[in-house]
Amino acid sequence: MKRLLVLTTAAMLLNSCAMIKGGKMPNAADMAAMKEKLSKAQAAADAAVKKCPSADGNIPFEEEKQIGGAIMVGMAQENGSFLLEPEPDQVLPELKTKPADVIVKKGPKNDVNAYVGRVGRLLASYSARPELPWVFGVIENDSINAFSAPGGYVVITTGLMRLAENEAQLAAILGHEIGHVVNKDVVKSYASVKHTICVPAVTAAAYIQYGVGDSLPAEVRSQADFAKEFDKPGLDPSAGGFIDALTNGVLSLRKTFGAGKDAEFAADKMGFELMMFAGYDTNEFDKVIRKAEQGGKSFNNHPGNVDRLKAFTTLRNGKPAEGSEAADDFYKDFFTGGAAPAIPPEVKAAIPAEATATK
Amino acid sequence: MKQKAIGLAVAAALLATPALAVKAGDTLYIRSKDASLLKTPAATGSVLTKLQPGTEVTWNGVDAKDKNFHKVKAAGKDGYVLQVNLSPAKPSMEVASDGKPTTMSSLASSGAATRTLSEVGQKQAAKTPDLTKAGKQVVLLEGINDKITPKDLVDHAKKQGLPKAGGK
Repeated sequence: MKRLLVLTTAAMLLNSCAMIKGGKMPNAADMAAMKEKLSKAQAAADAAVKKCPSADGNIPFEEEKQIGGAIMVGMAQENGSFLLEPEPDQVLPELKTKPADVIVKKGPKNDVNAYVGRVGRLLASYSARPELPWVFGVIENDSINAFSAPGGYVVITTGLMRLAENEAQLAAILGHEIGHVVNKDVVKSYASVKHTICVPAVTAAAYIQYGVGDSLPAEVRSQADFAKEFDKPGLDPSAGGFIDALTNGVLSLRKTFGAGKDAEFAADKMGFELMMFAGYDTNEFDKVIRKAEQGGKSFNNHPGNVDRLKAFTTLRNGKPAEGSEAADDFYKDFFTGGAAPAIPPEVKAAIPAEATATK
Repeated sequence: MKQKAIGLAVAAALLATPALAVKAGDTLYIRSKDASLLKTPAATGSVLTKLQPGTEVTWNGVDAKDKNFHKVKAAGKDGYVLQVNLSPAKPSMEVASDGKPTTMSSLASSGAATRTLSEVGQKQAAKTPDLTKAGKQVVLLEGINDKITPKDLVDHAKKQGLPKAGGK
């Protein structure tokens, strides 16, 4: 609403300036006509804004998958090249190739992705979204990082692969990212960005419709082109500029703020649960976080390691002793130990000492 | 210090969620298709009934002798299920294009839930050579992942010494 008032005021001022510049001072009739136009434009804008998707709205899966593909491509391009072989340009499939038609060359690097895919799919099968079309991959990048995109994409860097001492630690990292996808954390950012784009777009469109659009700043007026996208069902793949705005908005939001502490703790919790139910030793989650810290590295945009480790201890043993006489059992009764199997040596051997390809 | 306090508060809030606890009497869910509810904690024991994904069970503890088996009550019967057949979460409903709730199985059968790079993803990838390379790599990754079968997951768990498989 504040934005609308600003737009209205701007429109009135700019219109006044335009008329004065034209050498004609507005008379009472002009002013009344302008006031009426602005009033109608404002009413239309208010009605259109009400139809904007809400910032925390449910996004249909098909739209999640559509935007997820664009976000995944953008993040992949930003973070390096995937650990694939042989040289991608020689064998890469076309963009339209269906997964069943993709010819996969047998080789150690491709096998690393298949291995990570098996661990990830096993974990995801215990989640609330077991049947997503999950895709796991390893990207050549020395940073200690992993990321995910809507629709079921999960990526881990070679830097983090090198850090993981065993499969349970790898499972911790993948489980955390699966948590972000299951909890739709990026989808929530997308919904927020979509709402943010919608409000000025439909407002500008309404002002243009009622003949007062020319008075708006060009930056606001240009947003009006996006207004028609909100009348369409789903996401129109041919709306390039609109999709750019959405994708860039989401990537920028994630880069600046991450998922937020609440979302990171929730992803930790889900990773912990998935590890436990799949039979991995959850103590390895703590170890991989400590190891990252000892190496002077930390996970970007995540809560502090101390808080994360305390949360794990609480999950394992019950409520913290302070202020609580009888601790709840939480997971301690369910625990059956858990395994920390080795990462197969051929997988370890295929991880390059340093990323050989960056952007 | 403030950050720490916030972190602890968040952790405490998470831990206050009832679904977090797994105590005797709590609810868990069946993960696998046709999971056997066994009369005794033995894979060869008689099958009381077959349970399907998403079925609620009351968890009544781990078997003392073989921790792969968990005591549960399901469909009004007391019995045992393998740990691999249990999940902490019920499969969630997805949102269909018309905004109505639907299952992932329905979306998959309509072709909406496949590993194919989405049309929007393809359009984005076609914009620059760097994006095209990234997009084609994603397509290859999708192909690699698409070739992983449910049997591969069972074999992987067995090879790596994870709980006895019996699920999908």
